[in-house]
Amino acid sequence: MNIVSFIFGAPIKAKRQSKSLVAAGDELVSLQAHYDEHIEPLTRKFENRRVAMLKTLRQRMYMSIAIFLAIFSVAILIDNQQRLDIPWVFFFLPLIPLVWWSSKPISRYKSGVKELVYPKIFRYFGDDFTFSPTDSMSLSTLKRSKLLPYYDDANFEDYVRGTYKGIEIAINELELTKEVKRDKRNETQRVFRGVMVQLSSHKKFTGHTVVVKTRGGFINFLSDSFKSLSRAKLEDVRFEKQFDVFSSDQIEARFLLTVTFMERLQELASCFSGKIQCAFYEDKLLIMLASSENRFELGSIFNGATFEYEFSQINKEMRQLFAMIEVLKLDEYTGL
Amino acid sequence: MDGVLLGLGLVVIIAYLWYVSLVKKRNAGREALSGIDVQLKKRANVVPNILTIAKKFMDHEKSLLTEITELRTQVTNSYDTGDADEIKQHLAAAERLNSKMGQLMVTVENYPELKSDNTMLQAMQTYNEVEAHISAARRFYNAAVTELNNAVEIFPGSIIASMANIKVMPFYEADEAAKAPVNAGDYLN
Repeated sequence: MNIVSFIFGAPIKAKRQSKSLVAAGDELVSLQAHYDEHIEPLTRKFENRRVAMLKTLRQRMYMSIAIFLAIFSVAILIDNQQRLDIPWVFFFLPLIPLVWWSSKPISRYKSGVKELVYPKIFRYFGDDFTFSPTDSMSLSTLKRSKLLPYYDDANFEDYVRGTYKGIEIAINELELTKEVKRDKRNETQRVFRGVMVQLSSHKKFTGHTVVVKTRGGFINFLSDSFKSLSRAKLEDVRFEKQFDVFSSDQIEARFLLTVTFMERLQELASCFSGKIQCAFYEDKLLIMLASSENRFELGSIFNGATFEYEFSQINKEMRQLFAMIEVLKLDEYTGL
Repeated sequence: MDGVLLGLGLVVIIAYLWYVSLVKKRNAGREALSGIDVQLKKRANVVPNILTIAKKFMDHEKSLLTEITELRTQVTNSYDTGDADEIKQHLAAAERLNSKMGQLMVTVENYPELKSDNTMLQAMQTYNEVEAHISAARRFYNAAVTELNNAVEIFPGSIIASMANIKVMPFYEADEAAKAPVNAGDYLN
Protein backbone atom coordinates (compact mmCIF):
# COMPACT_ATOMS: atom_id res chain seq x y z
CA MET A 1 0.00 0.00 0.00
CA ASN A 2 1.08 3.56 -0.65
CA ILE A 3 -0.45 6.97 0.00
CA VAL A 4 -2.40 7.03 -3.32
CA SER A 5 -3.96 3.56 -2.94
CA PHE A 6 -4.63 4.39 0.72
CA ILE A 7 -6.62 7.51 -0.18
CA PHE A 8 -8.52 5.64 -2.87
CA GLY A 9 -9.71 3.06 -0.38
CA ALA A 10 -7.36 0.08 -0.61
CA PRO A 11 -8.29 -2.47 2.09
CA ILE A 12 -6.38 -2.06 5.36
CA LYS A 13 -5.15 -5.42 6.59
CA ALA A 14 -2.79 -6.47 9.35
CA LYS A 15 0.66 -7.53 8.12
CA ARG A 16 2.14 -10.28 10.23
CA GLN A 17 4.76 -11.34 7.72
CA SER A 18 8.16 -10.31 9.00
CA LYS A 19 11.26 -9.18 7.16
CA SER A 20 14.41 -10.71 8.54
CA LEU A 21 16.84 -8.93 10.83
CA VAL A 22 20.13 -7.77 9.34
CA ALA A 23 23.43 -8.04 11.23
CA ALA A 24 26.94 -9.39 10.93
CA GLY A 25 26.83 -13.21 10.83
CA ASP A 26 27.98 -13.96 14.37
CA GLU A 27 25.73 -11.30 15.90
CA LEU A 28 22.53 -12.32 14.21
CA VAL A 29 21.80 -15.06 16.74
CA SER A 30 21.88 -12.76 19.76
CA LEU A 31 19.99 -10.05 17.87
CA GLN A 32 17.28 -12.56 16.93
CA ALA A 33 17.12 -13.88 20.50
CA HIS A 34 16.61 -10.37 21.90
CA TYR A 35 14.03 -9.63 19.23
CA ASP A 36 12.09 -12.84 19.93
CA GLU A 37 12.12 -12.28 23.67
CA HIS A 38 11.49 -8.53 23.98
CA ILE A 39 10.25 -7.01 20.74
CA GLU A 40 8.29 -9.66 18.92
CA PRO A 41 5.66 -9.93 21.74
CA LEU A 42 4.85 -6.26 21.17
CA THR A 43 4.44 -6.50 17.41
CA ARG A 44 0.90 -8.02 17.45
CA LYS A 45 -0.34 -5.26 19.75
CA PHE A 46 1.27 -2.53 17.65
CA GLU A 47 0.10 -4.04 14.38
CA ASN A 48 -3.49 -3.88 15.68
CA ARG A 49 -2.86 -0.29 16.72
CA ARG A 50 -1.41 0.50 13.31
CA VAL A 51 -4.44 -0.92 11.52
CA ALA A 52 -6.78 1.05 13.80
CA MET A 53 -4.66 4.17 13.27
CA LEU A 54 -4.84 3.82 9.47
CA LYS A 55 -8.61 3.37 9.58
CA THR A 56 -9.06 6.45 11.79
CA LEU A 57 -6.61 8.37 9.62
CA ARG A 58 -8.57 7.60 6.46
CA GLN A 59 -11.89 8.51 8.09
CA ARG A 60 -10.49 11.80 9.28
CA MET A 61 -8.93 12.54 5.89
CA TYR A 62 -12.25 12.01 4.12
CA MET A 63 -14.05 14.15 6.69
CA SER A 64 -11.37 16.84 6.47
CA ILE A 65 -11.60 16.94 2.67
CA ALA A 66 -15.38 17.25 2.88
CA ILE A 67 -15.22 20.01 5.55
CA PHE A 68 -12.55 21.86 3.60
CA LEU A 69 -14.49 21.71 0.33
CA ALA A 70 -17.63 22.95 2.10
CA ILE A 71 -15.82 25.89 3.74
CA PHE A 72 -13.96 26.63 0.51
CA SER A 73 -17.18 26.70 -1.54
CA VAL A 74 -18.99 28.90 0.99
CA ALA A 75 -16.02 31.27 1.15
CA ILE A 76 -15.89 31.58 -2.66
CA LEU A 77 -19.64 32.15 -2.78
CA ILE A 78 -19.52 34.91 -0.15
CA ASP A 79 -16.47 36.41 -1.79
CA ASN A 80 -18.21 36.60 -5.16
CA GLN A 81 -21.50 37.92 -3.76
CA GLN A 82 -20.06 40.50 -1.39
CA ARG A 83 -17.04 41.33 -3.60
CA LEU A 84 -14.73 41.16 -0.57
CA ASP A 85 -11.59 40.21 -2.54
CA ILE A 86 -10.37 37.84 0.16
CA PRO A 87 -6.67 36.98 -0.40
CA TRP A 88 -6.35 33.39 -1.68
CA VAL A 89 -4.18 32.39 1.31
CA PHE A 90 -7.21 32.75 3.61
CA PHE A 91 -9.13 30.14 1.62
CA PHE A 92 -6.56 27.54 2.67
CA LEU A 93 -6.41 28.52 6.35
CA PRO A 94 -8.92 25.83 7.45
CA LEU A 95 -6.43 23.27 6.18
CA ILE A 96 -4.11 23.87 9.15
CA PRO A 97 -6.40 22.57 11.93
CA LEU A 98 -7.74 19.86 9.63
CA VAL A 99 -4.28 18.51 8.79
CA TRP A 100 -3.35 18.64 12.49
CA TRP A 101 -6.53 16.77 13.46
CA SER A 102 -6.09 14.18 10.69
CA SER A 103 -2.47 13.43 11.49
CA LYS A 104 -3.08 13.14 15.26
CA PRO A 105 -3.54 9.33 15.10
CA ILE A 106 -0.11 8.98 13.39
CA SER A 107 1.73 10.99 16.03
CA ARG A 108 -0.12 9.10 18.80
CA TYR A 109 0.89 5.76 17.24
CA LYS A 110 4.50 6.86 16.75
CA SER A 111 4.86 8.16 20.29
CA GLY A 112 3.44 4.85 21.53
CA VAL A 113 6.17 3.00 19.64
CA LYS A 114 8.84 5.32 21.03
CA GLU A 115 7.62 4.86 24.57
CA LEU A 116 7.28 1.09 24.50
CA VAL A 117 9.36 -0.41 21.69
CA TYR A 118 12.45 1.79 21.46
CA PRO A 119 13.52 1.36 25.10
CA LYS A 120 13.39 -2.40 24.49
CA ILE A 121 15.47 -2.06 21.32
CA PHE A 122 18.14 -0.05 23.14
CA ARG A 123 18.13 -2.47 26.09
CA TYR A 124 19.86 -4.88 23.68
CA PHE A 125 23.06 -2.85 24.04
CA GLY A 126 23.07 -3.05 27.85
CA ASP A 127 20.71 -3.03 30.81
CA ASP A 128 21.44 0.62 31.55
CA PHE A 129 20.54 1.86 28.07
CA THR A 130 17.58 4.20 28.17
CA PHE A 131 15.64 6.01 25.48
CA SER A 132 13.66 9.15 26.10
CA PRO A 133 11.96 11.32 23.48
CA THR A 134 12.07 14.36 25.80
CA ASP A 135 15.35 14.40 27.81
CA SER A 136 18.41 16.20 26.47
CA MET A 137 22.17 16.78 26.78
CA SER A 138 23.63 19.82 28.52
CA LEU A 139 23.75 22.63 25.97
CA SER A 140 26.57 24.45 27.79
CA THR A 141 28.80 21.35 27.48
CA LEU A 142 28.04 21.18 23.77
CA LYS A 143 28.83 24.88 23.36
CA ARG A 144 32.27 24.41 24.92
CA SER A 145 33.16 21.89 22.19
CA LYS A 146 33.68 24.83 19.77
CA LEU A 147 31.79 22.87 17.12
CA LEU A 148 28.39 24.52 17.27
CA PRO A 149 27.74 27.20 14.67
CA TYR A 150 26.17 30.52 15.69
CA TYR A 151 22.53 29.94 16.68
CA ASP A 152 19.61 31.55 18.52
CA ASP A 153 17.51 28.55 19.41
CA ALA A 154 18.21 24.87 20.09
CA ASN A 155 15.69 22.02 20.01
CA PHE A 156 16.50 18.54 21.26
CA GLU A 157 14.67 15.30 20.50
CA ASP A 158 15.15 11.57 21.20
CA TYR A 159 17.81 11.05 23.85
CA VAL A 160 19.68 7.76 24.30
CA ARG A 161 21.96 7.03 27.24
CA GLY A 162 23.94 4.04 28.38
CA THR A 163 27.39 2.60 28.99
CA TYR A 164 29.58 0.34 26.91
CA LYS A 165 32.74 -1.14 28.50
CA GLY A 166 32.42 1.50 31.20
CA ILE A 167 32.23 4.34 28.67
CA GLU A 168 29.21 6.59 29.01
CA ILE A 169 27.40 7.13 25.73
CA ALA A 170 24.82 9.83 25.11
CA ILE A 171 23.07 10.38 21.80
CA ASN A 172 20.70 13.25 21.11
CA GLU A 173 19.05 14.70 18.05
CA LEU A 174 19.55 18.42 17.79
CA GLU A 175 18.28 21.24 15.62
CA LEU A 176 19.84 24.70 15.76
CA THR A 177 18.21 27.73 14.23
CA LYS A 178 19.01 31.41 13.98
CA GLU A 179 17.01 34.50 13.18
CA VAL A 180 17.97 36.29 9.98
CA LYS A 181 16.62 39.56 8.60
CA ARG A 182 15.35 39.31 5.05
CA ASP A 183 13.41 42.10 3.35
CA LYS A 184 12.75 43.82 6.72
CA ARG A 185 11.29 40.57 8.07
CA ASN A 186 12.73 38.15 10.59
CA GLU A 187 13.06 34.62 9.30
CA THR A 188 14.13 31.48 11.10
CA GLN A 189 16.98 29.69 9.35
CA ARG A 190 18.20 26.21 10.23
CA VAL A 191 21.95 26.12 10.81
CA PHE A 192 22.29 22.53 11.96
CA ARG A 193 20.22 19.41 12.12
CA GLY A 194 21.54 16.02 13.08
CA VAL A 195 22.79 13.84 15.89
CA MET A 196 25.18 14.65 18.73
CA VAL A 197 27.09 11.70 20.16
CA GLN A 198 29.00 12.12 23.39
CA LEU A 199 31.45 9.48 24.62
CA SER A 200 33.21 9.74 27.95
CA SER A 201 36.82 8.63 28.23
CA HIS A 202 38.90 7.05 30.95
CA LYS A 203 41.87 8.82 29.43
CA LYS A 204 42.61 12.43 30.20
CA PHE A 205 42.60 14.81 27.24
CA THR A 206 44.96 17.62 28.14
CA GLY A 207 44.18 19.63 25.04
CA HIS A 208 41.19 20.54 22.91
CA THR A 209 41.15 19.05 19.42
CA VAL A 210 38.47 19.55 16.79
CA VAL A 211 37.99 17.86 13.43
CA VAL A 212 35.84 20.04 11.19
CA LYS A 213 34.82 19.77 7.56
CA THR A 214 37.45 21.37 5.37
CA ARG A 215 37.25 25.13 5.00
CA GLY A 216 38.98 25.10 1.62
CA GLY A 217 42.53 25.87 0.58
CA PHE A 218 42.06 29.64 0.30
CA ILE A 219 40.75 30.15 3.85
CA ASN A 220 43.44 27.82 5.20
CA PHE A 221 46.06 29.83 3.32
CA LEU A 222 44.79 33.03 4.98
CA SER A 223 44.27 31.61 8.47
CA ASP A 224 45.90 28.79 10.39
CA SER A 225 43.59 28.97 13.39
CA PHE A 226 40.01 28.15 14.36
CA LYS A 227 38.40 29.59 17.49
CA SER A 228 41.85 30.04 19.10
CA LEU A 229 43.03 26.51 18.17
CA SER A 230 46.03 25.98 15.87
CA ARG A 231 45.93 23.94 12.70
CA ALA A 232 47.37 20.43 12.88
CA LYS A 233 48.52 19.19 9.49
CA LEU A 234 48.19 15.43 9.26
CA GLU A 235 49.96 13.12 6.87
CA ASP A 236 46.84 11.49 5.44
CA VAL A 237 46.09 13.31 2.17
CA ARG A 238 42.65 11.70 1.72
CA PHE A 239 41.61 12.77 5.23
CA GLU A 240 43.04 16.26 4.75
CA LYS A 241 40.87 16.71 1.65
CA GLN A 242 37.72 16.12 3.73
CA PHE A 243 38.65 17.56 7.11
CA ASP A 244 40.65 20.26 8.85
CA VAL A 245 42.09 19.55 12.28
CA PHE A 246 42.72 22.24 14.89
CA SER A 247 44.14 21.67 18.33
CA SER A 248 45.61 23.29 21.40
CA ASP A 249 47.94 20.26 21.71
CA GLN A 250 49.59 19.24 18.44
CA ILE A 251 50.98 15.97 19.81
CA GLU A 252 47.71 14.89 21.36
CA ALA A 253 45.93 15.66 18.07
CA ARG A 254 48.28 13.29 16.25
CA PHE A 255 47.99 10.71 19.02
CA LEU A 256 44.21 10.68 18.77
CA LEU A 257 43.87 10.92 15.02
CA THR A 258 45.48 7.69 13.98
CA VAL A 259 44.88 6.20 10.54
CA THR A 260 42.45 3.66 12.01
CA PHE A 261 40.49 6.38 13.79
CA MET A 262 40.30 8.46 10.64
CA GLU A 263 38.96 5.47 8.72
CA ARG A 264 36.37 4.81 11.43
CA LEU A 265 35.28 8.42 11.34
CA GLN A 266 34.74 8.22 7.59
CA GLU A 267 32.85 4.93 7.94
CA LEU A 268 30.62 6.47 10.59
CA ALA A 269 29.94 9.42 8.32
CA SER A 270 28.84 7.15 5.50
CA CYS A 271 26.74 5.09 7.93
CA PHE A 272 24.86 8.20 9.05
CA SER A 273 24.77 9.49 5.46
CA GLY A 274 25.89 12.92 6.56
CA LYS A 275 28.74 15.23 7.34
CA ILE A 276 30.72 14.56 10.45
CA GLN A 277 32.72 16.76 12.81
CA CYS A 278 34.13 15.89 16.20
CA ALA A 279 35.85 17.35 19.23
CA PHE A 280 38.03 15.86 21.94
CA TYR A 281 37.76 18.00 25.08
CA GLU A 282 37.16 17.74 28.81
CA ASP A 283 37.85 13.98 28.71
CA LYS A 284 35.02 13.53 26.24
CA LEU A 285 34.66 12.83 22.56
CA LEU A 286 31.78 14.70 20.94
CA ILE A 287 30.73 13.64 17.46
CA MET A 288 28.43 15.92 15.52
CA LEU A 289 26.66 14.22 12.62
CA ALA A 290 24.78 16.56 10.32
CA SER A 291 21.91 14.75 8.69
CA SER A 292 18.60 15.82 7.24
CA GLU A 293 17.14 12.46 8.23
CA ASN A 294 15.18 12.20 11.44
CA ARG A 295 16.90 9.46 13.42
CA PHE A 296 15.18 6.86 15.56
CA GLU A 297 12.00 7.39 13.57
CA LEU A 298 9.68 4.69 12.34
CA GLY A 299 9.69 3.63 8.73
CA SER A 300 6.57 4.04 6.62
CA ILE A 301 3.23 3.66 8.45
CA PHE A 302 2.14 1.44 5.55
CA ASN A 303 4.71 -1.20 6.55
CA GLY A 304 3.84 -3.80 9.16
CA ALA A 305 4.77 -3.08 12.79
CA THR A 306 7.55 -5.69 13.00
CA PHE A 307 10.30 -3.18 13.97
CA GLU A 308 12.93 -5.45 12.44
CA TYR A 309 14.20 -2.76 10.08
CA GLU A 310 14.42 -0.24 12.95
CA PHE A 311 16.22 -2.74 15.20
CA SER A 312 18.73 -3.70 12.47
CA GLN A 313 19.39 -0.07 11.56
CA ILE A 314 19.92 1.08 15.17
CA ASN A 315 22.18 -1.92 15.82
CA LYS A 316 24.31 -1.06 12.78
CA GLU A 317 24.75 2.56 13.92
CA MET A 318 25.49 1.61 17.52
CA ARG A 319 28.13 -0.92 16.41
CA GLN A 320 29.94 1.88 14.59
CA LEU A 321 30.02 3.89 17.80
CA PHE A 322 31.29 0.95 19.82
CA ALA A 323 34.02 0.43 17.22
CA MET A 324 35.12 4.03 17.77
CA ILE A 325 35.44 3.38 21.49
CA GLU A 326 37.59 0.36 20.74
CA VAL A 327 39.78 2.14 18.20
CA LEU A 328 40.41 5.00 20.59
CA LYS A 329 40.72 2.61 23.55
CA LEU A 330 38.65 5.09 25.53
CA ASP A 331 37.88 2.28 27.98
CA GLU A 332 41.49 1.73 29.06
CA TYR A 333 42.82 3.13 32.29
CA THR A 334 46.47 3.91 31.69
CA GLY A 335 47.18 6.25 34.58
CA LEU A 336 48.67 8.90 32.31
CA MET B 1 67.03 57.00 -8.15
CA ASP B 2 63.62 56.74 -6.51
CA GLY B 3 63.02 53.48 -8.33
CA VAL B 4 66.30 52.02 -7.03
CA LEU B 5 65.46 53.07 -3.48
CA LEU B 6 61.97 51.60 -3.78
CA GLY B 7 63.40 48.35 -5.14
CA LEU B 8 65.99 48.22 -2.36
CA GLY B 9 63.28 48.88 0.22
CA LEU B 10 61.21 46.05 -1.19
CA VAL B 11 64.19 43.66 -1.10
CA VAL B 12 64.85 44.56 2.55
CA ILE B 13 61.21 44.02 3.49
CA ILE B 14 61.05 40.66 1.68
CA ALA B 15 64.36 39.55 3.24
CA TYR B 16 63.08 40.51 6.70
CA LEU B 17 59.79 38.63 6.21
CA TRP B 18 61.76 35.62 4.98
CA TYR B 19 63.96 35.84 8.06
CA VAL B 20 60.87 36.02 10.33
CA SER B 21 59.41 32.95 8.67
CA LEU B 22 62.71 31.05 9.10
CA VAL B 23 62.89 31.94 12.79
CA LYS B 24 59.26 30.87 13.25
CA LYS B 25 60.00 27.53 11.59
CA ARG B 26 63.11 27.00 13.74
CA ASN B 27 61.10 27.76 16.86
CA ALA B 28 58.33 25.40 15.72
CA GLY B 29 61.00 22.70 15.33
CA ARG B 30 62.35 23.38 18.82
CA GLU B 31 58.82 23.36 20.24
CA ALA B 32 58.21 19.99 18.59
CA LEU B 33 61.52 18.74 19.99
CA SER B 34 60.49 19.80 23.48
CA GLY B 35 57.22 17.92 22.87
CA ILE B 36 59.27 14.79 22.23
CA ASP B 37 61.24 15.39 25.41
CA VAL B 38 58.05 15.65 27.45
CA GLN B 39 56.98 12.26 26.13
CA LEU B 40 60.48 10.76 26.63
CA LYS B 41 60.35 11.97 30.22
CA LYS B 42 57.02 10.22 30.67
CA ARG B 43 58.58 7.04 29.30
CA ALA B 44 61.59 7.46 31.56
CA ASN B 45 59.15 7.56 34.50
CA VAL B 46 57.36 4.40 33.38
CA VAL B 47 60.50 2.35 32.63
CA PRO B 48 61.64 1.92 36.31
CA ASN B 49 58.22 0.48 37.23
CA ILE B 50 58.51 -2.10 34.48
CA LEU B 51 62.11 -2.92 35.41
CA THR B 52 61.25 -3.33 39.11
CA ILE B 53 58.50 -5.82 38.28
CA ALA B 54 60.59 -7.57 35.61
CA LYS B 55 63.60 -8.01 37.93
CA LYS B 56 61.53 -10.23 40.23
CA PHE B 57 60.95 -12.76 37.46
CA MET B 58 63.71 -12.31 34.86
CA ASP B 59 66.90 -13.64 36.43
CA HIS B 60 68.47 -14.51 33.08
CA GLU B 61 67.95 -11.11 31.45
CA LYS B 62 70.13 -9.03 33.73
CA SER B 63 72.28 -7.64 30.91
CA LEU B 64 69.23 -6.42 29.02
CA LEU B 65 67.80 -4.78 32.15
CA THR B 66 71.14 -3.08 32.87
CA GLU B 67 71.36 -1.85 29.30
CA ILE B 68 67.87 -0.37 29.55
CA THR B 69 68.75 1.37 32.83
CA GLU B 70 71.87 2.89 31.23
CA LEU B 71 70.00 4.03 28.14
CA ARG B 72 67.28 5.56 30.31
CA THR B 73 69.89 7.64 32.14
CA GLN B 74 71.42 8.67 28.81
CA VAL B 75 68.06 9.79 27.43
CA THR B 76 67.21 11.86 30.51
CA ASN B 77 70.56 13.70 30.37
CA SER B 78 70.39 17.32 29.23
CA TYR B 79 71.64 18.37 25.77
CA ASP B 80 72.00 21.48 23.63
CA THR B 81 68.80 21.98 21.59
CA GLY B 82 70.69 24.32 19.25
CA ASP B 83 73.27 21.72 18.27
CA ALA B 84 72.12 19.38 15.51
CA ASP B 85 74.66 16.67 16.43
CA GLU B 86 73.59 16.59 20.06
CA ILE B 87 69.93 16.43 19.04
CA LYS B 88 70.77 13.54 16.71
CA GLN B 89 72.59 11.64 19.47
CA HIS B 90 69.77 12.32 21.93
CA LEU B 91 67.12 11.03 19.50
CA ALA B 92 69.27 8.02 18.58
CA ALA B 93 69.61 7.11 22.27
CA ALA B 94 65.82 7.47 22.68
CA GLU B 95 65.29 5.15 19.73
CA ARG B 96 67.79 2.60 21.12
CA LEU B 97 65.88 2.64 24.40
CA ASN B 98 62.68 2.07 22.44
CA SER B 99 64.27 -0.86 20.66
CA LYS B 100 65.55 -2.43 23.89
CA MET B 101 62.18 -1.97 25.56
CA GLY B 102 60.60 -3.71 22.56
CA GLN B 103 63.06 -6.56 23.11
CA LEU B 104 62.07 -6.69 26.78
CA MET B 105 58.36 -6.84 25.88
CA VAL B 106 59.04 -9.80 23.58
CA THR B 107 61.08 -11.52 26.30
CA VAL B 108 58.20 -11.08 28.76
CA GLU B 109 56.28 -13.55 26.58
CA ASN B 110 58.68 -16.28 27.80
CA TYR B 111 57.70 -15.68 31.43
CA PRO B 112 54.03 -16.69 31.82
CA GLU B 113 53.94 -15.63 35.48
CA LEU B 114 55.22 -12.17 34.64
CA LYS B 115 52.95 -11.92 31.61
CA SER B 116 49.88 -12.55 33.74
CA ASP B 117 50.96 -10.26 36.57
CA ASN B 118 48.34 -7.51 36.90
CA THR B 119 50.82 -4.78 37.82
CA MET B 120 52.95 -5.73 34.82
CA LEU B 121 49.92 -5.72 32.53
CA GLN B 122 48.94 -2.26 33.74
CA ALA B 123 52.51 -0.99 33.36
CA MET B 124 52.75 -2.41 29.84
CA GLN B 125 49.45 -0.80 28.86
CA THR B 126 50.72 2.55 30.14
CA TYR B 127 54.02 2.01 28.35
CA ASN B 128 52.24 1.27 25.05
CA GLU B 129 50.26 4.48 25.39
CA VAL B 130 53.43 6.49 26.07
CA GLU B 131 54.95 4.89 22.97
CA ALA B 132 51.91 5.98 20.93
CA HIS B 133 52.39 9.51 22.29
CA ILE B 134 56.09 9.42 21.35
CA SER B 135 55.14 8.27 17.88
CA ALA B 136 52.69 11.21 17.59
CA ALA B 137 55.34 13.60 18.89
CA ARG B 138 57.78 12.20 16.31
CA ARG B 139 55.29 12.81 13.48
CA PHE B 140 54.80 16.40 14.66
CA TYR B 141 58.55 16.92 15.03
CA ASN B 142 59.41 15.46 11.64
CA ALA B 143 56.72 17.59 9.95
CA ALA B 144 58.14 20.73 11.61
CA VAL B 145 61.71 19.73 10.69
CA THR B 146 60.73 19.09 7.05
CA GLU B 147 59.31 22.62 6.82
CA LEU B 148 62.40 24.11 8.45
CA ASN B 149 64.89 22.14 6.40
CA ASN B 150 63.13 22.94 3.12
CA ALA B 151 63.17 26.63 4.00
CA VAL B 152 66.84 26.54 5.05
CA GLU B 153 68.11 24.54 2.07
CA ILE B 154 66.17 26.13 -0.80
CA PHE B 155 67.53 29.32 -2.39
CA PRO B 156 67.19 32.22 -1.47
CA GLY B 157 66.23 31.02 2.03
CA SER B 158 69.61 29.28 2.24
CA ILE B 159 71.43 32.67 2.07
CA ILE B 160 69.25 34.30 4.74
CA ALA B 161 69.51 31.18 6.91
CA SER B 162 73.32 31.14 6.73
CA MET B 163 73.44 34.88 7.56
CA ALA B 164 71.08 34.38 10.52
CA ASN B 165 72.88 31.17 11.57
CA ILE B 166 69.70 29.09 11.27
CA LYS B 167 70.63 25.46 10.64
CA VAL B 168 68.81 22.33 9.57
CA MET B 169 67.62 20.01 12.31
CA PRO B 170 67.96 16.20 12.23
CA PHE B 171 64.93 13.98 11.69
CA TYR B 172 63.79 11.61 14.39
CA GLU B 173 64.32 8.38 12.48
CA ALA B 174 63.30 4.85 13.36
CA ASP B 175 65.98 2.56 14.74
CA GLU B 176 67.94 0.57 12.11
CA ALA B 177 66.69 -2.68 13.63
CA ALA B 178 63.09 -1.53 13.14
CA LYS B 179 63.81 -0.77 9.48
CA ALA B 180 65.35 -4.19 8.77
CA PRO B 181 63.23 -6.57 6.67
CA VAL B 182 61.34 -9.19 8.65
CA ASN B 183 61.82 -12.82 7.70
CA ALA B 184 58.50 -14.48 8.49
CA GLY B 185 60.20 -17.88 8.35
CA ASP B 186 62.15 -17.11 11.52
CA TYR B 187 58.89 -16.84 13.41
CA LEU B 188 56.97 -19.61 11.75
CA ASN B 189 59.61 -22.37 12.08
